[in-house]
Amino acid sequence: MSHTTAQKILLYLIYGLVLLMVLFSLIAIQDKSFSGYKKCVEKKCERGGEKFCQKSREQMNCCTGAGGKLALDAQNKFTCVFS
Amino acid sequence: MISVLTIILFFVYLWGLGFTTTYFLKKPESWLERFFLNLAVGLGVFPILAILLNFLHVPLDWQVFLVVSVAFPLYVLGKKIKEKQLSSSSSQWFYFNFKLNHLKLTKSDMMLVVVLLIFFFSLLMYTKGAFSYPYLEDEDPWGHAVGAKYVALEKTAYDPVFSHQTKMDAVLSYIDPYPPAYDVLMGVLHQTSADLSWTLKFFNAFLISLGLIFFYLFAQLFLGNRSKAVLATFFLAAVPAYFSHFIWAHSLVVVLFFPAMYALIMIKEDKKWFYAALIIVASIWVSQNIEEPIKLTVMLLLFVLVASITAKRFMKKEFWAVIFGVLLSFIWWGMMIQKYTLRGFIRYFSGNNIVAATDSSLDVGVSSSVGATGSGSIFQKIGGILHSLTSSGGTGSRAYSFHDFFVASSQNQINSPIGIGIVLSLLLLFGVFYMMWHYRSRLVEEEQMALSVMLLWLVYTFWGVNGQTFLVSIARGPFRMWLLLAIPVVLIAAIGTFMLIGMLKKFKVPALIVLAVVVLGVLMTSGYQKYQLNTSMWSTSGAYSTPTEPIEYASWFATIPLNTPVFLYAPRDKLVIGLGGNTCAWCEDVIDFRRDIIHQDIPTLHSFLKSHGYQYFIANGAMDSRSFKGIFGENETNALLLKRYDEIQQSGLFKPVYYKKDLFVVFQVN
Repeated sequence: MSHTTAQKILLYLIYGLVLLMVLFSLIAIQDKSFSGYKKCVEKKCERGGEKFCQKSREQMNCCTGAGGKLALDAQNKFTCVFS
Repeated sequence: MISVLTIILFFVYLWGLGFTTTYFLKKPESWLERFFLNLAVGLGVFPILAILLNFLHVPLDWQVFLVVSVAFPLYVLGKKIKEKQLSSSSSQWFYFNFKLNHLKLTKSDMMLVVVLLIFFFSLLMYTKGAFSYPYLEDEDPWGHAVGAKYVALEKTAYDPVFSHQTKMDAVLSYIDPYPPAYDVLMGVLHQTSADLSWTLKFFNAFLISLGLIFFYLFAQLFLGNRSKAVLATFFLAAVPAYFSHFIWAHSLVVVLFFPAMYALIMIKEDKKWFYAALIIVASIWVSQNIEEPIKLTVMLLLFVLVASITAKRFMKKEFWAVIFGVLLSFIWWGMMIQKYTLRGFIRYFSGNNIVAATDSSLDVGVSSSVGATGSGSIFQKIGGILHSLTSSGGTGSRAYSFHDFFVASSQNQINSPIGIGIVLSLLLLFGVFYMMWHYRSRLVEEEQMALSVMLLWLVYTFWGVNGQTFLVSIARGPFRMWLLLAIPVVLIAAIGTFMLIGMLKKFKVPALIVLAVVVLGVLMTSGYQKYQLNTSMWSTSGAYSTPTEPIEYASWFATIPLNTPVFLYAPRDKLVIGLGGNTCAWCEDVIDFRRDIIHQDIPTLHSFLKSHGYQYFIANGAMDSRSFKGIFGENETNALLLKRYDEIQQSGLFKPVYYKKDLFVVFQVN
């Protein structure tokens, strides 16, 4: 059966988007580290300010998102530890 | 305290509204399916009807809803009697429209019976969890309790206007400008069910569970296969990402998606379904605060787009049903924009909710909220608004890993749990791979329309969930997208299962065995974790200082009649309302009195409480101190609070009637 142009575009779109999701997922693996945690906190600081990004909830979200566990360092500041 | 009358009324409202809306439309032949379809459509009508009545200043009273619900069914009944369609035989009277031969259960009905079993199990799980503690969980449900109480008593869904108001939502977080349909529904139910906590917990769980039946009705139409629809419904009930029993407006808005999709699909069969679709879309838009309606509308439009492309003709009716539905919701949104101005409105949604502000500060606020300078171009402003609508923030949002999707955990968020589970994830991956490999270019043909829609829904919701994981975010509040991700996941997993059954048949593996393994696997890797999370004890409001405190409060409130007026010294009226007491949290004189409460001497406090009918007064050292320090400052609080406690004890105006060591004292107002 011949396809219309719209059908062809839809087909390429579906396959393209599924591939894009795979690609994005692979890129995201790189963020699963301490640098991913730092990058996430920096982003939050830029968006919401220092007070916002130092909230335990935001720190926890960044750390869990990077695959680590939130902890306090020697200066009693939040850090993210990886086993 | 269970209210059987309210459960019956709930069915009457929904069935009556559904019957009225679908009377002239093509409906399923099965009476059982018709019954639940009426409930689904009725639920889709209720929110926008409530908004319309509110707009017309008709009191939001249960009797009004009852009359509107039963008026047309009674008219039809009367007409049938008049036309002598019913003979005088008593048995035929009873069977009106449900003649005995119509009540037979067909094979397709048996599928619905299985779904009903899933519904009952889901309801049991959710109610078991919701009633395993005597308070409301977290913060949102307390806010909904205040909103429902307000609607129940004041019978309106517009905020009261205060003379010195400087902020939107100072008291009623989920009413005005927040679209109030959920609180109206709960408030109307509370009018006939005295126990607000029971009403919220039960009907919230009931709505979510009923949503499973509505999902089945949509899925069997969408997939064109009842067996796949039943399996998908089971998956939906089992997947952790799809609803906990958390009390919030999402319980209504997401459930409305299913009748909306049903109506859109049915337009092809009967064009009059256009009106039902339009109404339900409007209801979606007045049931939650923009975020979820936008996401659901994108999903509806993706369906219309794919259906149009695969059918090689533009689905005009379906498209306009969505667009006019959104426009109809402006009965609410138009009023809000008129009331708060477009700027104030935008600022509210960007988190800056000051109503009374100078023009210059408004300019700055609006500019920052839309991410553009005051003198920026229209494109910058539109870009800024889009940025705000796709912001990947939100209290529970974070980056997710493969593990978060693949392994379901009972240690989870309570409002929007995450996770799919091992077996479901594998079925999903298999389904996606098989669909793309097996159908290839046939994916975009009309017969495979549903598969294309599911794939696009999957991409959209998966991308949405990963707003903080991926380079670009496409939806606001990623953690709330998990609820929607569950929908394409279970549909594709069900398709994947049947494809697997088909494949394994070649190796002479019986279908029943494959099905049993899948069901057991999903129960063990998704369902069990969901059950654990939903039947465990959840924590509650941060207003309490210790975990035992809410339990002790609830124990005392259980000893007094429901809706007894109780006044907390701390400005935490929502706790009184959520625990079954009563207080006018939204009354201006109460708010004004609280503004300077620490400076009011005890005779003034007493005469205020007496004149407002309060029977009990509760003092709680930790809660009062924390609240007052936030309002009056540390020095003022330290200087005055203990003095006030002494005065209360010595005044003779208050009689201590209950004391919980280190927690709180209850005084009777003499």
